[in-house]
Amino acid sequence: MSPVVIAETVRRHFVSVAFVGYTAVVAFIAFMLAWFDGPAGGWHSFAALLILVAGAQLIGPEFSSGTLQLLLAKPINRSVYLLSRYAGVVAAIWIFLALGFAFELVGRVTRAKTSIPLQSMSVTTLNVALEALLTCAVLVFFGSFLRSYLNVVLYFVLRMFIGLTMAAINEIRPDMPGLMGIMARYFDRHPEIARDVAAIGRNLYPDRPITFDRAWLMLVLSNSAVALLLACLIFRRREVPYGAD
Amino acid sequence: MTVLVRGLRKSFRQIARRTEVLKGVDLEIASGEVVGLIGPNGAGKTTLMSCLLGYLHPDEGTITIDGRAADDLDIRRRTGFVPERMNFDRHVTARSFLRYMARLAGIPRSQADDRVSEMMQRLGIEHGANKRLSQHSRGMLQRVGMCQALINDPSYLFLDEPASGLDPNGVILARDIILEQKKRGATILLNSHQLSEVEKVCDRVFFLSNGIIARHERIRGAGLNAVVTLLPGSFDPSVIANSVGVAPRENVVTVPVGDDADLAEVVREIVATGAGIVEVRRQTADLEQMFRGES
Repeated sequence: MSPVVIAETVRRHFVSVAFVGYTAVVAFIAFMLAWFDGPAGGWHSFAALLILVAGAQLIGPEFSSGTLQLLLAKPINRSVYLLSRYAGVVAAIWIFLALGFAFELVGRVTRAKTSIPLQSMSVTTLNVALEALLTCAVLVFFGSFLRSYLNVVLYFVLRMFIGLTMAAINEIRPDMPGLMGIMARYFDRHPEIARDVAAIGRNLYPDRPITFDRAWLMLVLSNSAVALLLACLIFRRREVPYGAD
Repeated sequence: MTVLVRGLRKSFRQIARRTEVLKGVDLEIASGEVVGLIGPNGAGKTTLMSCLLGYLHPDEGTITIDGRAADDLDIRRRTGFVPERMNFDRHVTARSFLRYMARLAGIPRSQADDRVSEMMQRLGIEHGANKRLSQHSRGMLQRVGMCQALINDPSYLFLDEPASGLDPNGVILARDIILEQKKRGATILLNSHQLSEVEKVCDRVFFLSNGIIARHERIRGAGLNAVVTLLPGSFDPSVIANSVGVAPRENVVTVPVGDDADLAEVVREIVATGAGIVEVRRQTADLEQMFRGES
Protein backbone atom coordinates (compact mmCIF):
# COMPACT_ATOMS: atom_id res chain seq x y z
CA MET A 1 0.00 0.00 0.00
CA SER A 2 1.17 3.52 -0.73
CA PRO A 3 0.37 6.03 2.04
CA VAL A 4 0.87 8.83 -0.52
CA VAL A 5 -1.91 7.49 -2.80
CA ILE A 6 -4.23 6.68 0.12
CA ALA A 7 -3.80 10.15 1.64
CA GLU A 8 -4.27 11.87 -1.72
CA THR A 9 -7.41 9.83 -2.48
CA VAL A 10 -8.95 10.73 0.89
CA ARG A 11 -7.86 14.36 0.55
CA ARG A 12 -9.42 14.68 -2.90
CA HIS A 13 -12.76 13.44 -1.52
CA PHE A 14 -12.72 16.01 1.23
CA VAL A 15 -11.84 18.93 -1.05
CA SER A 16 -14.67 17.94 -3.40
CA VAL A 17 -17.67 20.24 -2.99
CA ALA A 18 -20.02 17.42 -4.02
CA PHE A 19 -18.66 14.98 -1.44
CA VAL A 20 -18.54 17.51 1.40
CA GLY A 21 -22.00 18.83 0.52
CA TYR A 22 -23.49 15.33 0.36
CA THR A 23 -21.83 14.42 3.67
CA ALA A 24 -23.26 17.56 5.31
CA VAL A 25 -26.77 16.83 3.98
CA VAL A 26 -26.68 13.20 5.11
CA ALA A 27 -25.29 14.20 8.53
CA PHE A 28 -28.21 16.60 8.88
CA ILE A 29 -30.67 13.87 7.82
CA ALA A 30 -29.11 11.45 10.33
CA PHE A 31 -29.47 14.08 13.05
CA MET A 32 -33.11 14.86 12.16
CA LEU A 33 -34.10 11.18 11.88
CA ALA A 34 -32.63 10.60 15.33
CA TRP A 35 -34.36 13.71 16.66
CA PHE A 36 -37.71 12.38 15.47
CA ASP A 37 -36.85 8.98 16.91
CA GLY A 38 -36.51 7.24 13.54
CA PRO A 39 -35.11 3.71 13.21
CA ALA A 40 -31.43 3.19 14.01
CA GLY A 41 -29.36 3.83 10.88
CA GLY A 42 -32.31 5.21 8.92
CA TRP A 43 -29.87 7.28 6.83
CA HIS A 44 -27.95 4.24 5.54
CA SER A 45 -29.65 4.19 2.15
CA PHE A 46 -27.87 7.51 1.43
CA ALA A 47 -24.61 5.80 2.33
CA ALA A 48 -25.33 3.00 -0.16
CA LEU A 49 -25.63 5.59 -2.93
CA LEU A 50 -22.35 7.21 -1.92
CA ILE A 51 -20.60 3.83 -1.89
CA LEU A 52 -21.66 3.20 -5.49
CA VAL A 53 -20.70 6.68 -6.69
CA ALA A 54 -17.32 6.66 -4.92
CA GLY A 55 -16.59 3.08 -5.96
CA ALA A 56 -17.49 3.78 -9.60
CA GLN A 57 -14.80 6.48 -9.76
CA LEU A 58 -12.09 4.28 -8.37
CA ILE A 59 -10.16 3.43 -11.52
CA GLY A 60 -12.26 3.62 -14.71
CA PRO A 61 -12.38 7.41 -15.07
CA GLU A 62 -8.63 7.67 -14.37
CA PHE A 63 -8.10 5.13 -17.11
CA SER A 64 -10.30 6.95 -19.62
CA SER A 65 -9.13 10.46 -18.83
CA GLY A 66 -5.50 9.57 -19.40
CA THR A 67 -4.55 10.33 -15.78
CA LEU A 68 -3.19 6.82 -15.33
CA GLN A 69 -0.42 7.39 -17.88
CA LEU A 70 0.92 10.19 -15.80
CA LEU A 71 0.70 8.19 -12.57
CA LEU A 72 2.11 4.94 -13.93
CA ALA A 73 5.18 6.77 -15.24
CA LYS A 74 6.07 7.18 -11.55
CA PRO A 75 7.78 4.42 -9.55
CA ILE A 76 4.66 2.75 -8.21
CA ASN A 77 3.62 -0.84 -8.70
CA ARG A 78 0.28 -1.12 -10.47
CA SER A 79 -1.21 -3.47 -7.88
CA VAL A 80 -0.04 -1.23 -5.06
CA TYR A 81 -1.61 1.74 -6.80
CA LEU A 82 -4.93 -0.07 -7.32
CA LEU A 83 -5.10 -1.34 -3.73
CA SER A 84 -4.12 2.07 -2.36
CA ARG A 85 -6.84 3.78 -4.38
CA TYR A 86 -9.30 1.19 -3.03
CA ALA A 87 -8.11 1.78 0.52
CA GLY A 88 -8.38 5.55 0.09
CA VAL A 89 -11.93 5.39 -1.26
CA VAL A 90 -13.01 2.97 1.49
CA ALA A 91 -11.38 5.23 4.10
CA ALA A 92 -13.31 8.25 2.76
CA ILE A 93 -16.57 6.24 2.91
CA TRP A 94 -15.80 5.12 6.45
CA ILE A 95 -15.17 8.73 7.52
CA PHE A 96 -18.52 9.63 5.97
CA LEU A 97 -20.18 6.77 7.92
CA ALA A 98 -18.46 7.81 11.13
CA LEU A 99 -19.79 11.36 10.69
CA GLY A 100 -23.31 10.06 9.97
CA PHE A 101 -23.11 7.85 13.06
CA ALA A 102 -21.85 10.74 15.18
CA PHE A 103 -24.68 13.05 14.05
CA GLU A 104 -27.26 10.34 14.65
CA LEU A 105 -25.84 9.84 18.13
CA VAL A 106 -25.85 13.58 18.82
CA GLY A 107 -29.47 13.73 17.64
CA ARG A 108 -30.51 10.94 20.00
CA VAL A 109 -28.49 12.30 22.94
CA THR A 110 -29.92 15.81 22.60
CA ARG A 111 -33.47 14.45 22.17
CA ALA A 112 -33.00 11.94 25.04
CA LYS A 113 -36.70 11.01 25.25
CA THR A 114 -36.14 7.31 24.76
CA SER A 115 -33.15 5.11 25.45
CA ILE A 116 -30.39 5.28 22.82
CA PRO A 117 -30.25 2.09 20.65
CA LEU A 118 -26.46 2.24 20.64
CA GLN A 119 -25.92 -1.44 19.87
CA SER A 120 -28.35 -1.44 16.95
CA MET A 121 -26.86 1.82 15.61
CA SER A 122 -23.31 0.45 15.87
CA VAL A 123 -24.05 -2.92 14.29
CA THR A 124 -26.03 -1.53 11.34
CA THR A 125 -23.36 1.12 10.65
CA LEU A 126 -20.62 -1.50 10.94
CA ASN A 127 -22.48 -3.69 8.45
CA VAL A 128 -22.73 -0.80 5.98
CA ALA A 129 -18.99 -0.19 6.43
CA LEU A 130 -18.32 -3.86 5.66
CA GLU A 131 -20.69 -3.78 2.71
CA ALA A 132 -18.64 -0.85 1.36
CA LEU A 133 -15.60 -3.16 1.34
CA LEU A 134 -17.32 -5.68 -0.92
CA THR A 135 -19.13 -3.21 -3.18
CA CYS A 136 -15.96 -1.22 -3.82
CA ALA A 137 -13.95 -4.42 -4.35
CA VAL A 138 -16.46 -5.66 -6.95
CA LEU A 139 -16.39 -2.24 -8.66
CA VAL A 140 -12.57 -2.31 -8.68
CA PHE A 141 -12.69 -5.77 -10.22
CA PHE A 142 -15.09 -4.62 -12.96
CA GLY A 143 -13.07 -1.41 -13.39
CA SER A 144 -9.87 -3.41 -13.87
CA PHE A 145 -11.05 -4.50 -17.33
CA LEU A 146 -13.65 -1.84 -18.22
CA ARG A 147 -13.28 1.82 -19.07
CA SER A 148 -14.87 4.90 -17.62
CA TYR A 149 -17.99 4.28 -15.49
CA LEU A 150 -18.86 0.97 -17.18
CA ASN A 151 -17.98 -0.83 -13.95
CA VAL A 152 -21.08 0.52 -12.23
CA VAL A 153 -23.16 -0.20 -15.35
CA LEU A 154 -22.04 -3.84 -15.27
CA TYR A 155 -22.67 -3.94 -11.52
CA PHE A 156 -26.32 -2.97 -12.04
CA VAL A 157 -26.87 -4.98 -15.23
CA LEU A 158 -25.54 -8.14 -13.56
CA ARG A 159 -27.66 -7.52 -10.50
CA MET A 160 -30.76 -7.06 -12.64
CA PHE A 161 -29.92 -10.14 -14.71
CA ILE A 162 -29.55 -12.28 -11.59
CA GLY A 163 -32.79 -10.91 -10.13
CA LEU A 164 -34.75 -11.46 -13.34
CA THR A 165 -33.29 -14.92 -13.90
CA MET A 166 -34.16 -16.03 -10.37
CA ALA A 167 -37.66 -14.56 -10.72
CA ALA A 168 -38.14 -16.39 -14.03
CA ILE A 169 -36.90 -19.68 -12.59
CA ASN A 170 -39.21 -19.36 -9.59
CA GLU A 171 -42.31 -18.16 -11.46
CA ILE A 172 -42.50 -20.17 -14.66
CA ARG A 173 -44.00 -23.70 -14.60
CA PRO A 174 -43.51 -26.67 -16.96
CA ASP A 175 -47.23 -26.76 -17.81
CA MET A 176 -47.15 -23.20 -19.18
CA PRO A 177 -47.67 -22.93 -22.95
CA GLY A 178 -44.98 -21.99 -25.48
CA LEU A 179 -41.53 -20.71 -24.65
CA MET A 180 -42.28 -20.35 -20.93
CA GLY A 181 -43.04 -24.03 -20.61
CA ILE A 182 -39.94 -25.01 -22.61
CA MET A 183 -37.75 -22.81 -20.39
CA ALA A 184 -39.35 -24.17 -17.20
CA ARG A 185 -38.76 -27.75 -18.31
CA TYR A 186 -35.16 -26.86 -19.22
CA PHE A 187 -34.56 -25.30 -15.79
CA ASP A 188 -36.14 -28.37 -14.17
CA ARG A 189 -33.72 -30.61 -16.02
CA HIS A 190 -30.81 -28.36 -15.04
CA PRO A 191 -31.27 -27.34 -11.40
CA GLU A 192 -27.61 -26.32 -11.27
CA ILE A 193 -28.46 -23.18 -13.27
CA ALA A 194 -30.72 -21.82 -10.52
CA ARG A 195 -28.21 -22.89 -7.88
CA ASP A 196 -25.26 -21.21 -9.61
CA VAL A 197 -27.10 -17.97 -10.46
CA ALA A 198 -28.29 -17.73 -6.86
CA ALA A 199 -24.76 -18.38 -5.61
CA ILE A 200 -23.35 -15.59 -7.82
CA GLY A 201 -26.04 -13.26 -6.49
CA ARG A 202 -25.35 -14.23 -2.87
CA ASN A 203 -21.61 -13.71 -3.31
CA LEU A 204 -21.64 -10.44 -5.23
CA TYR A 205 -24.71 -8.81 -3.69
CA PRO A 206 -25.26 -10.40 -0.27
CA ASP A 207 -28.18 -8.99 1.69
CA ARG A 208 -26.96 -6.89 4.57
CA PRO A 209 -28.06 -8.35 7.91
CA ILE A 210 -29.48 -6.13 10.64
CA THR A 211 -27.52 -7.91 13.36
CA PHE A 212 -23.91 -8.92 13.60
CA ASP A 213 -23.48 -12.07 11.52
CA ARG A 214 -20.07 -13.73 11.60
CA ALA A 215 -20.78 -15.84 8.48
CA TRP A 216 -21.78 -12.74 6.54
CA LEU A 217 -18.64 -10.97 7.75
CA MET A 218 -16.45 -13.83 6.52
CA LEU A 219 -18.31 -13.90 3.19
CA VAL A 220 -17.76 -10.15 2.68
CA LEU A 221 -14.09 -10.28 3.63
CA SER A 222 -13.23 -13.36 1.58
CA ASN A 223 -15.15 -12.21 -1.50
CA SER A 224 -13.59 -8.76 -1.29
CA ALA A 225 -10.15 -10.34 -1.12
CA VAL A 226 -10.86 -12.55 -4.16
CA ALA A 227 -12.26 -9.59 -6.16
CA LEU A 228 -9.20 -7.47 -5.32
CA LEU A 229 -6.79 -10.28 -6.17
CA LEU A 230 -8.43 -10.79 -9.57
CA ALA A 231 -8.48 -7.02 -10.14
CA CYS A 232 -4.73 -6.80 -9.42
CA LEU A 233 -3.94 -9.70 -11.73
CA ILE A 234 -5.92 -8.14 -14.59
CA PHE A 235 -4.72 -4.59 -13.96
CA ARG A 236 -1.06 -5.63 -13.91
CA ARG A 237 -1.28 -6.85 -17.50
CA ARG A 238 -3.73 -4.28 -18.75
CA GLU A 239 -2.52 -1.95 -21.47
CA VAL A 240 -2.92 1.73 -20.76
CA PRO A 241 -3.87 3.43 -24.00
CA TYR A 242 -2.37 6.78 -24.79
CA GLY A 243 -4.55 9.85 -24.39
CA ALA A 244 -8.02 10.38 -23.07
CA ASP A 245 -11.23 8.85 -24.43
CA MET B 1 23.44 1.43 -25.02
CA THR B 2 21.01 2.86 -22.49
CA VAL B 3 17.79 2.36 -24.43
CA LEU B 4 17.73 -0.67 -26.68
CA VAL B 5 14.81 -1.72 -28.85
CA ARG B 6 15.03 -4.85 -30.97
CA GLY B 7 12.49 -6.19 -33.46
CA LEU B 8 9.57 -4.39 -31.83
CA ARG B 9 6.20 -5.31 -33.27
CA LYS B 10 2.86 -4.09 -32.03
CA SER B 11 -0.57 -4.49 -33.51
CA PHE B 12 -4.07 -3.55 -32.40
CA ARG B 13 -7.18 -5.61 -32.90
CA GLN B 14 -10.32 -3.75 -33.87
CA ILE B 15 -13.25 -6.18 -33.95
CA ALA B 16 -12.24 -8.55 -36.77
CA ARG B 17 -9.39 -6.46 -38.17
CA ARG B 18 -5.84 -6.48 -36.93
CA THR B 19 -3.70 -3.43 -37.67
CA GLU B 20 0.04 -3.73 -37.32
CA VAL B 21 1.37 -0.36 -36.20
CA LEU B 22 4.99 -1.22 -35.42
CA LYS B 23 6.55 -3.67 -37.86
CA GLY B 24 9.93 -4.45 -36.39
CA VAL B 25 11.47 -1.33 -34.91
CA ASP B 26 15.15 -1.37 -33.98
CA LEU B 27 16.75 1.56 -32.25
CA GLU B 28 19.33 2.34 -29.66
CA ILE B 29 19.95 5.48 -27.68
CA ALA B 30 23.23 6.00 -25.89
CA SER B 31 23.49 7.40 -22.39
CA GLY B 32 23.27 11.20 -22.38
CA GLU B 33 22.07 11.37 -25.97
CA VAL B 34 19.16 13.52 -27.14
CA VAL B 35 17.26 11.72 -29.87
CA GLY B 36 14.38 13.04 -31.93
CA LEU B 37 11.55 10.88 -33.17
CA ILE B 38 9.86 12.28 -36.23
CA GLY B 39 7.42 10.93 -38.77
CA PRO B 40 4.03 11.55 -40.30
CA ASN B 41 0.79 11.13 -38.37
CA GLY B 42 -0.06 7.45 -37.95
CA ALA B 43 3.55 6.34 -38.38
CA GLY B 44 3.55 4.70 -34.93
CA LYS B 45 5.49 7.29 -32.88
CA THR B 46 2.96 7.36 -30.06
CA THR B 47 2.73 3.56 -30.00
CA LEU B 48 6.52 3.34 -29.84
CA MET B 49 6.60 5.89 -27.00
CA SER B 50 3.87 3.95 -25.15
CA CYS B 51 5.83 0.70 -25.48
CA LEU B 52 8.98 2.43 -24.22
CA LEU B 53 7.06 3.66 -21.18
CA GLY B 54 5.59 0.21 -20.50
CA TYR B 55 1.98 1.28 -21.17
CA LEU B 56 1.63 -1.12 -24.09
CA HIS B 57 3.02 -4.64 -24.29
CA PRO B 58 4.86 -5.49 -27.52
CA ASP B 59 3.64 -8.48 -29.56
CA GLU B 60 7.24 -9.32 -30.39
CA GLY B 61 10.66 -7.88 -29.72
CA THR B 62 12.41 -6.51 -26.68
CA ILE B 63 12.82 -3.17 -24.98
CA THR B 64 15.48 -2.64 -22.36
CA ILE B 65 16.44 0.52 -20.57
CA ASP B 66 19.76 0.27 -18.81
CA GLY B 67 19.46 -3.50 -19.19
CA ARG B 68 16.06 -3.69 -17.46
CA ALA B 69 12.47 -3.98 -18.63
CA ALA B 70 10.72 -0.75 -19.61
CA ASP B 71 8.26 -0.97 -16.71
CA ASP B 72 10.84 -1.88 -14.07
CA LEU B 73 10.27 0.23 -10.95
CA ASP B 74 13.92 1.18 -10.68
CA ILE B 75 13.76 2.54 -14.23
CA ARG B 76 10.52 4.36 -13.36
CA ARG B 77 12.31 5.97 -10.43
CA ARG B 78 14.72 7.52 -12.93
CA THR B 79 12.18 8.34 -15.65
CA GLY B 80 10.32 11.53 -16.48
CA PHE B 81 7.49 11.68 -18.98
CA VAL B 82 5.81 14.72 -20.52
CA PRO B 83 2.57 13.76 -22.27
CA GLU B 84 1.27 15.73 -25.21
CA ARG B 85 -1.79 16.66 -23.18
CA MET B 86 -1.81 16.89 -19.42
CA ASN B 87 -4.74 14.89 -18.11
CA PHE B 88 -5.38 15.00 -14.41
CA ASP B 89 -8.15 15.89 -11.98
CA ARG B 90 -8.75 19.49 -13.06
CA HIS B 91 -10.07 20.49 -9.63
CA VAL B 92 -6.72 20.25 -7.89
CA THR B 93 -4.31 23.18 -7.77
CA ALA B 94 -1.04 23.08 -9.68
CA ARG B 95 0.90 23.04 -6.42
CA SER B 96 -0.99 20.15 -4.84
CA PHE B 97 -0.80 18.18 -8.11
CA LEU B 98 2.96 18.68 -8.28
CA ARG B 99 3.36 17.85 -4.60
CA TYR B 100 1.52 14.56 -5.23
CA MET B 101 3.71 13.82 -8.26
CA ALA B 102 6.84 14.63 -6.24
CA ARG B 103 5.77 12.29 -3.45
CA LEU B 104 4.97 9.52 -5.96
CA ALA B 105 8.38 10.05 -7.51
CA GLY B 106 9.87 9.23 -4.12
CA ILE B 107 10.81 12.71 -2.92
CA PRO B 108 10.50 12.82 0.90
CA ARG B 109 7.65 14.89 2.34
CA SER B 110 10.10 17.32 3.98
CA GLN B 111 11.71 18.16 0.62
CA ALA B 112 8.68 17.97 -1.66
CA ASP B 113 7.41 21.52 -1.11
CA ASP B 114 10.82 23.10 -1.70
CA ARG B 115 11.40 21.01 -4.79
CA VAL B 116 7.96 21.90 -6.19
CA SER B 117 8.57 25.63 -5.59
CA GLU B 118 11.99 25.42 -7.19
CA MET B 119 10.66 23.66 -10.29
CA MET B 120 7.65 25.96 -10.62
CA GLN B 121 9.98 28.93 -10.53
CA ARG B 122 12.23 27.39 -13.17
CA LEU B 123 9.23 26.73 -15.44
CA GLY B 124 7.79 30.20 -14.79
CA ILE B 125 4.49 29.01 -13.31
CA GLU B 126 4.88 30.06 -9.68
CA HIS B 127 2.20 32.74 -10.10
CA GLY B 128 -0.36 30.04 -10.95
CA ALA B 129 0.65 27.69 -8.13
CA ASN B 130 -2.62 27.97 -6.26
CA LYS B 131 -4.88 28.04 -9.31
CA ARG B 132 -6.83 24.92 -10.17
CA LEU B 133 -5.58 23.05 -13.22
CA SER B 134 -8.92 23.81 -14.90
CA GLN B 135 -8.02 27.52 -14.74
CA HIS B 136 -4.70 27.06 -16.53
CA SER B 137 -4.24 27.63 -20.25
CA ARG B 138 -3.01 24.81 -22.48
CA GLY B 139 0.50 26.27 -22.47
CA MET B 140 0.53 26.58 -18.67
CA LEU B 141 -0.66 22.98 -18.35
CA GLN B 142 2.17 21.93 -20.62
CA ARG B 143 4.61 23.69 -18.30
CA VAL B 144 3.02 21.92 -15.31
CA GLY B 145 3.48 18.67 -17.25
CA MET B 146 7.18 19.43 -17.77
CA CYS B 147 7.49 20.37 -14.11
CA GLN B 148 6.17 17.00 -12.92
CA ALA B 149 8.45 15.14 -15.31
CA LEU B 150 11.58 16.94 -14.12
CA ILE B 151 10.73 16.91 -10.42
CA ASN B 152 13.05 14.00 -9.61
CA ASP B 153 15.94 14.93 -11.95
CA PRO B 154 15.27 11.92 -14.20
CA SER B 155 18.00 10.07 -16.05
CA TYR B 156 15.59 9.19 -18.86
CA LEU B 157 13.25 11.77 -20.23
CA PHE B 158 10.44 10.93 -22.66
CA LEU B 159 8.95 14.05 -24.17
CA ASP B 160 5.86 13.87 -26.33
CA GLU B 161 5.36 17.17 -28.13
CA PRO B 162 6.62 19.17 -25.12
CA ALA B 163 6.27 22.48 -26.96
CA SER B 164 2.69 21.80 -28.00
CA GLY B 165 0.47 24.74 -27.01
CA LEU B 166 3.39 26.82 -25.77
CA ASP B 167 3.87 30.47 -26.75
CA PRO B 168 7.23 31.51 -28.30
CA ASN B 169 8.69 32.19 -24.83
CA GLY B 170 7.52 28.76 -23.75
CA VAL B 171 9.08 27.12 -26.81
CA ILE B 172 12.40 28.79 -26.01
CA LEU B 173 12.07 27.74 -22.36
CA ALA B 174 11.31 24.13 -23.38
CA ARG B 175 14.40 24.15 -25.60
CA ASP B 176 16.56 25.55 -22.79
CA ILE B 177 15.21 22.97 -20.37
CA ILE B 178 16.03 20.12 -22.78
CA LEU B 179 19.55 21.46 -23.23
CA GLU B 180 19.93 21.82 -19.45
CA GLN B 181 18.81 18.22 -18.96
CA LYS B 182 21.21 17.09 -21.65
CA LYS B 183 24.03 18.94 -19.91
CA ARG B 184 23.05 17.17 -16.70
CA GLY B 185 23.52 13.87 -18.54
CA ALA B 186 19.91 12.82 -19.08
CA THR B 187 19.04 10.54 -21.98
CA ILE B 188 16.18 12.15 -23.88
CA LEU B 189 13.70 10.92 -26.48
CA LEU B 190 11.83 13.80 -28.05
CA ASN B 191 8.75 13.16 -30.14
CA SER B 192 7.97 16.36 -31.98
CA HIS B 193 6.55 17.70 -35.20
CA GLN B 194 8.49 20.93 -34.77
CA LEU B 195 11.44 20.03 -36.96
CA SER B 196 13.33 23.24 -36.26
CA GLU B 197 13.23 22.48 -32.51
CA VAL B 198 14.33 18.88 -33.08
CA GLU B 199 17.19 20.19 -35.18
CA LYS B 200 18.27 22.59 -32.44
CA VAL B 201 18.40 20.16 -29.52
CA CYS B 202 18.85 16.63 -30.85
CA ASP B 203 22.06 14.72 -31.45
CA ARG B 204 20.33 12.22 -33.69
CA VAL B 205 16.96 11.81 -35.25
CA PHE B 206 14.96 8.69 -36.07
CA PHE B 207 12.45 8.89 -38.88
CA LEU B 208 9.59 6.51 -38.24
CA SER B 209 7.46 5.70 -41.25
CA ASN B 210 4.86 3.01 -41.75
CA GLY B 211 5.86 1.23 -38.55
CA ILE B 212 9.60 0.99 -39.13
CA ILE B 213 12.63 3.21 -38.62
CA ALA B 214 13.00 4.27 -42.23
CA ARG B 215 16.07 6.37 -41.61
CA HIS B 216 18.23 7.73 -38.86
CA GLU B 217 20.43 10.73 -39.15
CA ARG B 218 23.12 12.27 -36.99
CA ILE B 219 22.57 15.97 -36.49
CA ARG B 220 25.36 16.94 -34.08
CA GLY B 221 28.76 16.17 -35.52
CA ALA B 222 27.33 15.82 -39.02
CA GLY B 223 28.41 18.17 -41.78
CA LEU B 224 26.98 21.65 -42.00
CA ASN B 225 25.09 23.12 -44.91
CA ALA B 226 25.21 26.74 -45.94
CA VAL B 227 21.76 27.55 -47.25
CA VAL B 228 21.95 30.80 -49.20
CA THR B 229 18.85 32.45 -50.63
CA LEU B 230 19.71 34.66 -53.59
CA LEU B 231 17.90 37.70 -54.88
CA PRO B 232 15.95 36.54 -57.97
CA GLY B 233 17.39 37.92 -61.21
CA SER B 234 20.64 38.97 -59.56
CA PHE B 235 22.64 35.85 -60.42
CA ASP B 236 23.63 33.50 -63.20
CA PRO B 237 23.13 29.85 -62.07
CA SER B 238 26.13 28.58 -64.04
CA VAL B 239 28.42 31.22 -62.49
CA ILE B 240 27.23 30.26 -59.01
CA ALA B 241 27.76 26.56 -59.82
CA ASN B 242 31.32 27.29 -61.03
CA SER B 243 32.03 29.35 -57.96
CA VAL B 244 30.76 27.07 -55.14
CA GLY B 245 30.39 23.75 -56.97
CA VAL B 246 26.61 23.49 -56.48
CA ALA B 247 23.95 24.87 -58.80
CA PRO B 248 21.09 26.83 -57.23
CA ARG B 249 17.59 25.29 -57.15
CA GLU B 250 15.30 28.15 -58.01
CA ASN B 251 17.00 30.90 -56.00
CA VAL B 252 18.39 28.78 -53.16
CA VAL B 253 21.84 27.24 -53.14
CA THR B 254 22.69 24.62 -50.50
CA VAL B 255 26.40 24.02 -50.10
CA PRO B 256 27.89 21.36 -47.79
CA VAL B 257 30.60 22.93 -45.64
CA GLY B 258 33.03 21.65 -43.03
CA ASP B 259 32.67 24.37 -40.44
CA ASP B 260 31.60 27.96 -39.88
CA ALA B 261 34.76 29.34 -41.52
CA ASP B 262 33.94 27.40 -44.70
CA LEU B 263 30.41 28.77 -44.53
CA ALA B 264 31.74 32.35 -44.42
CA GLU B 265 33.99 31.55 -47.38
CA VAL B 266 31.01 30.28 -49.43
CA VAL B 267 29.14 33.52 -48.73
CA ARG B 268 32.18 35.57 -49.80
CA GLU B 269 32.47 33.56 -53.05
CA ILE B 270 28.80 34.09 -53.88
CA VAL B 271 29.06 37.79 -53.15
CA ALA B 272 32.11 37.93 -55.43
CA THR B 273 29.96 36.68 -58.35
CA GLY B 274 27.82 39.78 -57.96
CA ALA B 275 24.76 37.86 -56.77
CA GLY B 276 22.49 39.55 -54.27
CA ILE B 277 22.04 37.61 -51.02
CA VAL B 278 18.67 37.71 -49.26
CA GLU B 279 19.32 35.20 -46.46
CA VAL B 280 22.05 32.90 -45.18
CA ARG B 281 21.07 29.96 -43.01
CA ARG B 282 23.30 27.59 -41.09
CA GLN B 283 21.68 24.18 -41.43
CA THR B 284 22.85 21.19 -39.39
CA ALA B 285 20.54 18.64 -41.03
CA ASP B 286 17.82 19.05 -43.56
CA LEU B 287 15.05 17.43 -41.55
CA GLU B 288 12.38 19.05 -43.64
CA GLN B 289 13.77 17.52 -46.82
CA MET B 290 14.17 14.20 -45.03
CA PHE B 291 10.58 14.39 -43.83
CA ARG B 292 9.33 15.18 -47.33
CA GLY B 293 11.44 12.48 -48.90
CA GLU B 294 10.46 9.71 -46.51
CA SER B 295 6.80 10.42 -45.81
